[in-house]
Amino acid sequence: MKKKFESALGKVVFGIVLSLFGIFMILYSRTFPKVRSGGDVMTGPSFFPTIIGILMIAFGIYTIILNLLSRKNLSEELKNNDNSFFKSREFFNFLIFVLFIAIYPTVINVLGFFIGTFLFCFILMRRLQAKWIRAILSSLILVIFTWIIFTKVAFIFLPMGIIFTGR
Amino acid sequence: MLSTIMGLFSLKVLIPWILAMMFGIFVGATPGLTATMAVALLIPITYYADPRAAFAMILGVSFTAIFAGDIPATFLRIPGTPASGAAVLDGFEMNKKGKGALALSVDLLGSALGGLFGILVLILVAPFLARFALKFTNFEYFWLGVFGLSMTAILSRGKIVNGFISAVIGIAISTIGIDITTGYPRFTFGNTNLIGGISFIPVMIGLFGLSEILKNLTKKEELGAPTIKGFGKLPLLEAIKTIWNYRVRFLISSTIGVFIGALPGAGADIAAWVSYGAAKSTSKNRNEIGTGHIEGVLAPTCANNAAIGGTWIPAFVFGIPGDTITAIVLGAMLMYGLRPGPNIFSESRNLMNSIFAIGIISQIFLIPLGFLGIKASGQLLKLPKNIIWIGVVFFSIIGSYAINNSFFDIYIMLLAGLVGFVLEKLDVPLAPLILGLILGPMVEDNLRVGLIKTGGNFWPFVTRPISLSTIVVMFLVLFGANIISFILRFFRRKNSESSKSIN
Repeated sequence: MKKKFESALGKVVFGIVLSLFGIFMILYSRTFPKVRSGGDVMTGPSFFPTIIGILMIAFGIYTIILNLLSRKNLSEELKNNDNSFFKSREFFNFLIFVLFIAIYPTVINVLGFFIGTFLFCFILMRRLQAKWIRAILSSLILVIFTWIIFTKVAFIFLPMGIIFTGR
Repeated sequence: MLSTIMGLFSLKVLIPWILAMMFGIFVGATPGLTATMAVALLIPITYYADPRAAFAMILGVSFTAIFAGDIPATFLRIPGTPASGAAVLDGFEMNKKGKGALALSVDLLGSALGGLFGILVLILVAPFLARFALKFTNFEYFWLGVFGLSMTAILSRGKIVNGFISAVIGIAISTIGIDITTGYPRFTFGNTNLIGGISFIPVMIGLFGLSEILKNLTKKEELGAPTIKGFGKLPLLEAIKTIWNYRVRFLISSTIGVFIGALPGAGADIAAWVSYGAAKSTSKNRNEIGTGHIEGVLAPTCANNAAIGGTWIPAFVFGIPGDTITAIVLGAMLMYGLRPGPNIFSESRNLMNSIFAIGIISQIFLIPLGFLGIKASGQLLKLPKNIIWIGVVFFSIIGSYAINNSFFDIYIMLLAGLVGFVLEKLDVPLAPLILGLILGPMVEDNLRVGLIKTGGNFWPFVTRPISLSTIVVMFLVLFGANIISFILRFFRRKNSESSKSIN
């Protein structure tokens, strides 16, 4: 039961976001050109996004109403708001992973695949409490193994780094 | 025929054939590397090989790669290839229950038998089925897409509205990029990376793979513990018994696989989803499918390998590719001096016989090679979670990058991972989103082209015989079980009332 309480507020927010996306899709697709054939307006590029936008709004409103109707759940959720998860080590790990993935392309572009990936793997493994030696060896093996698979077997280009190649 | 088969066991055919199949296991099990990519990489090598060796390599690599995609799907919830998307659902749930070995054993045998079924259909009914598939026009393709999307209701595990929300998000994402009918760029906001649309593979890797790791990171877990537990011997005998027990499901799923494979543009991935949806709606175990039931593993895996045989039907008979793999191979066939078409069966009879034999023997080779692939992966996953998780994240990144050599796809994968994480927290199922992403363009393009053809009149969409048949089949798949149980209950009640009145 508690789980249901926890998700009511989130679902209302989700419904609002979904509806806003739907409105955006409809409004934005109105800027697409109309297609005409012999004077008749034909189904153009805005036809399908408009239908999808309408469906998004309908589903969004449905989600909002359904969860607002359980107002009791919502008010209890707001009262019992527990923020301890957002201060936990687990949440911090989550944020670090997301941040590292987001900056990884820039890092390997500058430092190159070998150094960038080794650092990426090693730091994250240490963050997840892997032992020093195991983290170093695993990161090295992962880097070499991936490099062989992707560049030597699949012929995929991996960046060597601006600081080494100058471009 | 015997001399044709014996010719396949010469070293110049056998060695490249087995090496290619091993390569297929490796590529399929690596997220981001697809069966199509494996075939594309092999094509330059096949130019220098005997034509029989060339086809042995191409067919062998297709079958093994499609199967091997189910290995990471079962262990890590990352589909190795797009065709393994549906295998994630019950395979991963079974693995969580410590039944990963059984799931993969059934998967392996189901793949081999499904592949065999597809090849046998190719041999027996290729010209007939290809002629029927060519009768499909935009109107029928539209309904086929809608039929696939209707599987959302089945894949949603009782949360039908949430399932449709997920599918609508998937369709919305599929509208990004150049509009094929008019060439107008939609929702690209001037970003050239979006012109070609959102790549399907980074979305799938993020949605299933990365979101699972993010979910695990937020739990309090012992990070030094092995990633999978209790993975011992592969219970092949139990797997054979299981497949025998579900032989009807095997036949239905393989038939769906061959048929969908034979439709140009609809490949193994769509076959797997439709087959899974059919199992979820018609099986007597429908309530358990989705929570880690073996029937949910068997249905998509038979279908995706059977679809490979299906894709070759229009390719050989009419020179029309059934999927991207056959599209690549059709180009290469001209290099081998082969002209696909109805005459290929008489003009190149020996080679065609060799190809059929290769298809059958590849299924036999698949079993030991797949067995080794599962064993190797199982051993690797005994490593601690803190090592494997980083490996998974890293392979998700490089796998996403590898599709188009684009860093942009890494951001797409990350965004999909975050969206998947949030949607799962909100009880929104992820599988329909993938369905929407795959089938959205099929539904939209065929609806619009159909409407343009008819001057905006929707009537032909429902009056053409094949369209109408597709609608009826869709209706039966979705509501057939409910209708039958309603009729049975009605007659039972009537019987009990009449027996009471007699008493």
